Amino acid sequence: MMALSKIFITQFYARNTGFFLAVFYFFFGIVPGGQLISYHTTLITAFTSNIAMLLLVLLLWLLYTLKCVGYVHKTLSAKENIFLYGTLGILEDGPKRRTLLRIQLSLYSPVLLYSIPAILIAFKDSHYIAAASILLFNILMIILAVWSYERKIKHPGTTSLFSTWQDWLNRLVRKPLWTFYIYELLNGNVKSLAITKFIGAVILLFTCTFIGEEYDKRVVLVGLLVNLLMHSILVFNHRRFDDLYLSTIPHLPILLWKRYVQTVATYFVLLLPEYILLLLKTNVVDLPLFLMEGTSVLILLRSLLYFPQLDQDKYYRWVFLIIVGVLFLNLAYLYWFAVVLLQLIAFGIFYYRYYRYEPPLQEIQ
Amino acid sequence: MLTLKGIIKAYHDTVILDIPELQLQHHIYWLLGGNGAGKTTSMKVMAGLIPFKGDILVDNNISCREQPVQYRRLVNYAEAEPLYPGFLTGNDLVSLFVQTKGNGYKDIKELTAMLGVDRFIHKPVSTYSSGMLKKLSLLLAFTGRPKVILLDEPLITLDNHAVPLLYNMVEEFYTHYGVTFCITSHQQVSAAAIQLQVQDRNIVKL
Repeated sequence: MMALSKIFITQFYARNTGFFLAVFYFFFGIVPGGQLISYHTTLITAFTSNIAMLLLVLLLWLLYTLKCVGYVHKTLSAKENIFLYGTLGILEDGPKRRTLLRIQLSLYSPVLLYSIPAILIAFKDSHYIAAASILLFNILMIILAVWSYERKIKHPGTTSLFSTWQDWLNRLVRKPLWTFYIYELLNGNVKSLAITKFIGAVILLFTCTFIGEEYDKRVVLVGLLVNLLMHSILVFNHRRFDDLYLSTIPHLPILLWKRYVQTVATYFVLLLPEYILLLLKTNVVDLPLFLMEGTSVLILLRSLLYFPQLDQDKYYRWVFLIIVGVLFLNLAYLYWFAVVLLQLIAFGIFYYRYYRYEPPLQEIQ
Repeated sequence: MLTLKGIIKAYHDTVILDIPELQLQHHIYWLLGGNGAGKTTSMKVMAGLIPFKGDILVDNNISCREQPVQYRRLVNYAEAEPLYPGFLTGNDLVSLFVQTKGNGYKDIKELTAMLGVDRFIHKPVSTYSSGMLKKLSLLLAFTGRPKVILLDEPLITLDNHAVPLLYNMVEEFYTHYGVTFCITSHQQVSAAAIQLQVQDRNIVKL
């Protein structure tokens, strides 16, 4: 059990430290110690007395269960854990289920620890349906998770419902070239994408609070530029992704202007959440300007990276230089001039450098 | 078919390739050389994948430097150790190659089935074994209507069933469609192959 505990439980909490710290802060860090009990009692009463709130809480717990199940399945499928099929897999049904139950209870314990007082408070307040729903929901989550683990151990080669669904989707949708990096961010770099988007959104919202009675688009553009500064990390990682996984793409017979347009499309889609936010918070007439300036800055940063000698330090020096340059043009009301200038320089570098670029050797190794 | 003129490829100050002139007529070529001799670099240069000094011409009129798009339509390349983003499916890559290189000498579905790629083409590449990845990269090298196909170590990780299939495909494309092959391998792919060797940074016919 000690080995299993290390493989499944310790690793799970270690890998999700950031997530649990954020949850812990929300539950125990934002109120003074003396008000903790009343704070949680109010929270629990709020969701046990309102069906919509209760459903929302159950949905969050379901997502957490899926996170646990996904983790256990992934761990069972890992090459280094193949020995589990020959050890855990050959146990009698009883001991095996008890072991899997212990694993699930350990992973699911944050929800269980919160559910017990929730059931007691709901019962005390005569919200019997809510109390029963929480109890049944938790039993169901534990049983279904243990069942899925047991099934995975018995049938290691079988495809899950999710992968069957994914197969169906793969047959239906073909991924165009310009979406590759977006998929990469959503698959392999969700954390950096989420952090960029979250901090970027906070920056934009904070900037929008400075919009006075007399609307000045330059205020918004300052926020957008700081937001783009955050995105410069994703642009730098884009080059690494292209170098490592798409080294044969330059070999395809695609016209340079088409390649350029596809890269612009990638950054346009990447900045889509920001544009939606700006659409809601600012003047709709200015949206094309925000859209063009945001995308133009990012495509220029990507074009600069076709100079292979541009390492991280040099790159960020250029990033600051460009952001400051555009900031001054914006302050001087030369927004569209800035857009045209950025596009001209970006396309010029892209056109001149694309076929002359060779990935730095250390990246490939 | 393929003419290399004044090719110099250097990393920093170290010259890896120095090929004054080399003409490859319609044939199957077997490129030999010890480890680190520059076989893969030669292939990448011929594919136009990495920058170099000099120029390469297909049929003496399509220049790698001056007409990069047309050149890439006529010269196909399969890497020794292909690596693709794990979320892509084989089908995504085949579609991209067919879309950019155009219709091939043979129907792509037929080629896909012949190599056995159809069994896993809709699965994400992350689930492929090295042999499956190799088959996919070879399939991609046979898309479009190339005049030259460069295959870098095409036999490594291929199973016993796939090796004769590849031999047949090479022979068929060479004989029926006039495709020139340049292959690096530790085993001979075709009995009639002309041997080339990377010697002292140059490529010479043996």
